[in-house]
Amino acid sequence: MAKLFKKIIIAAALIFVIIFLFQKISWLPSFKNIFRSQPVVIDETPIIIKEINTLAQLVTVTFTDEVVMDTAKVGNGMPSLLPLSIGTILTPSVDKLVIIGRGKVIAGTDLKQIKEKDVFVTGDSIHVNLPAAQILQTIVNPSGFETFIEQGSWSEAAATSLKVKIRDKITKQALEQQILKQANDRSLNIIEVFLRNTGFKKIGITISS
Amino acid sequence: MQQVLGLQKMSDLATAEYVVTKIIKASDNKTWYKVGDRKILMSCKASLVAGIDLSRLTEKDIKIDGENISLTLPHAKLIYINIKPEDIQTVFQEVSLFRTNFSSQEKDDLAAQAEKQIKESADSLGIFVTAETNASLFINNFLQKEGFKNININFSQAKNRLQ
Repeated sequence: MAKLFKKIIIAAALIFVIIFLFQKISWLPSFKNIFRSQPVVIDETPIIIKEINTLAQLVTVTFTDEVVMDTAKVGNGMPSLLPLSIGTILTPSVDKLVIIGRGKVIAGTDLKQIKEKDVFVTGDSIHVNLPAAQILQTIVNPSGFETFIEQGSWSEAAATSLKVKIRDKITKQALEQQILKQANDRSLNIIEVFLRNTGFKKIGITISS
Repeated sequence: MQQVLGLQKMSDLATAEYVVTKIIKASDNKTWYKVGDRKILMSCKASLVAGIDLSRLTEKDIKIDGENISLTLPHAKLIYINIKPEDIQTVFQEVSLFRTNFSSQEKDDLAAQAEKQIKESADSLGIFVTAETNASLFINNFLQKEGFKNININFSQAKNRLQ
């Protein structure tokens, strides 16, 4: 009996050692993570260059913001009972989609628009006529989205449409924060410093309306 | 890390844009207790923009001698990557009977991994070389308009491609 008990102890210890070793070399999940879903990792696929464009954009201001957007529709799920003072009524189920988007608006001046006639030089004086600042991009990348609630069945088009609305709202908020005025002021400052460093004593800069 | 939202000043001269595409391929079959698997193929288009940081150009990087000028510019860096929501599309999806479809959050997580891979491959795509060539050409033309005859543009030794 004692022999059998000893054998069982040795077998159990061996099993534990094997499990421990397999967990160490990641052949088995650890006890803590045994019921945790494994992350879905994408494969390394090639990146194909479709276009190469030459730019000359002076990026002067970025505005970072976070926006929440939601949408709802009548769903296909079980109707629910809504309690009222005179009783209850049967209401259809509601599908909800709530997305949080974190993105940035990039503003600056497109220097490609500067023509020969926009630069006048006389001795150590220079006058440059800069194009007005514009919103160059509003960026809300996939890493900036968080789906807070996804209740019911939502198509990809519906989620994309909500994300586009988030992007538009971030752009709107940037404009309300006077991003273009700030971008114009900053462009003026950068060009002035550059011209001063290149030896000009009298500098005049105007912004096209 | 706590992200600070709001307005921030920059001094970047964006000179090159690469528009790239990538297929996002993933299989969800690694969780031992889930019966059946899920496969997804998505396509995405991204725009990478690179250029030089003009705030790193100081007085000592510019040498003027009459109509001759010599400039040492900082190396190009990635200014931003932009993946528009409408440029991500699910091309194919296969879901086993006992599994649910990929949710909006799961698709965003996969696209975020693609975003990271594209960002990390910026150097190997050659965007920094193009950005430096374009920056050199643009500044050369601008200095010609200012009246300089002999223009010499170099890039500094130190490389800092961080965004």
